[in-house]
Amino acid sequence: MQDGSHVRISNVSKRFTTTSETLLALDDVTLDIEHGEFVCLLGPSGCGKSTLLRIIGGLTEPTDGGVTIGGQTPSDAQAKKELGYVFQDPSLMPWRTAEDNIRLPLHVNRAMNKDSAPPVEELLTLVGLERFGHYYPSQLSGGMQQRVALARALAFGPSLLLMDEPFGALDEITRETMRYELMRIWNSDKKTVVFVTHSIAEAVTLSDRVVVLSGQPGRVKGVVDIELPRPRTADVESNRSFVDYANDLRKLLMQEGGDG
Amino acid sequence: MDNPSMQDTSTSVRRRLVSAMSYVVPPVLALLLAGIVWETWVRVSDVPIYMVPPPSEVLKQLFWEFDFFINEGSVTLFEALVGFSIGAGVALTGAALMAHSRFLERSLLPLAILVKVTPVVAVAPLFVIWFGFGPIPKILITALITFFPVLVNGVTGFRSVDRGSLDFLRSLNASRREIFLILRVPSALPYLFSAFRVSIPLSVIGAVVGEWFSADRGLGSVIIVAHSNLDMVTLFDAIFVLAFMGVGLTALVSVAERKALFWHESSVVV
Repeated sequence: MQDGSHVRISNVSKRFTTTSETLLALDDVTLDIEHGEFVCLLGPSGCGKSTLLRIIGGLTEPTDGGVTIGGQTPSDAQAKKELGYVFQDPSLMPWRTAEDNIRLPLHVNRAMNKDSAPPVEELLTLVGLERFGHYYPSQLSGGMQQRVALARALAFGPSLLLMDEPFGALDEITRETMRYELMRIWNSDKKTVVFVTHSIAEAVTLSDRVVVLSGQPGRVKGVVDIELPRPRTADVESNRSFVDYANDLRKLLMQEGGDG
Repeated sequence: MDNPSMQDTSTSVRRRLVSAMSYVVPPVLALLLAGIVWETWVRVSDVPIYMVPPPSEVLKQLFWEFDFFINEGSVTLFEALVGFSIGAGVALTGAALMAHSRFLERSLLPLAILVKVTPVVAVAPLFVIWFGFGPIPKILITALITFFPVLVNGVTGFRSVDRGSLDFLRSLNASRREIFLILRVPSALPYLFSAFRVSIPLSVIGAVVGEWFSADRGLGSVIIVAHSNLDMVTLFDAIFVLAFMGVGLTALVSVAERKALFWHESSVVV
């Protein structure tokens, strides 16, 4: 590692080509993310923020530019099991219990399993599901399923957590609970997190830094440092600066017509 | 006395028994009724026994010649099951390969369709010439007609995986083999069981058709011999045994399906 950045995104562009037209989803995005930093990618639907996350995670190839994670390519990071992914849908396997879903990552690419990986019981406790290890996903609520997905992403001790609107499919009340749960969990070992969202409140509550993306083509419109005290609990929303940050972000999002 | 859990299990066993009965009793009653109507009709209208025998005669002979029908039936059952295993095995291998490669799918699927649309009855005499009179031609004919449903459903099944789960496994650098075993096989099970439900009855048909063309054993040959003797009672007995075999095999598939797919929507009893 030649420098302190954990994730370096250099001049990344992504074009999707269909038979009739070319769509520029991301246009020259450059961004450095430090070790242990919590970064939100905030933008309207279809601004390419999920695409950017997939490029970081090595699930999509950029058309131009590149990404390094701790100095290595995303596919090397995949090979070393450094990436913990959480998607909008929990994507649990319905034929496996919660426990077995959490254990799943240890069954693939075994050569790279780390001794430091936390035991399943500990993970279940961490996400507040210690009594539900033997339940099947269909027996759990949406919020609980997403907790299992989070535990699964932590099960193999990745250094980078990639979260693609993980609470987007949940109801508002569960969403807020999950936000503070995530803060509590993140506080315990401060992994680097890249978190995609279109909720301003979510971005302010969670982030050290919010990267605002514009819609079509996706460009970095601005970066806002959130200097609210940590650890953050539900009190954070009554902090006066919380409202100021939210307004700053809203203004940034609304510039030049906003959602195109 | 005061053991709620014991009570719970005994009531749940009773409830399960009652619900099982509610599935078994109506069809049995309907069958019984059909038998009575048939019997009465034959007796009243004096249909000659070489046209339609009364069910009582059919059952009587089945009872007296039970060993004979069991022996011939087991020959047919053996051919059907071995043929099905070979057909399904080849189909699953092909489906696994085709699910991974569009090129293979494009090259092999038309071939499989060609085999499928060719009537098995038309090919059967060829098999007899090539493979003689033993069980092998029957097994091959059975394999041939059970193959296609498993192949088509297998390709669809192995491909119909949850995108998120696939992405998650890819983000861990899971190998193709790992993805296949951990994700594709379980995801394909609902499709495969649908295929088995179609293929299992086909396997009995395959074995019988095979026996028609060349056999001294099996229910297919019993039918041929009884037919040429106008021995309707024996013929109906063979049909009864075959029908029973089909029902039994289908029931086995259903039980296995319920066990394997406890997690799937299709297993939710409404």
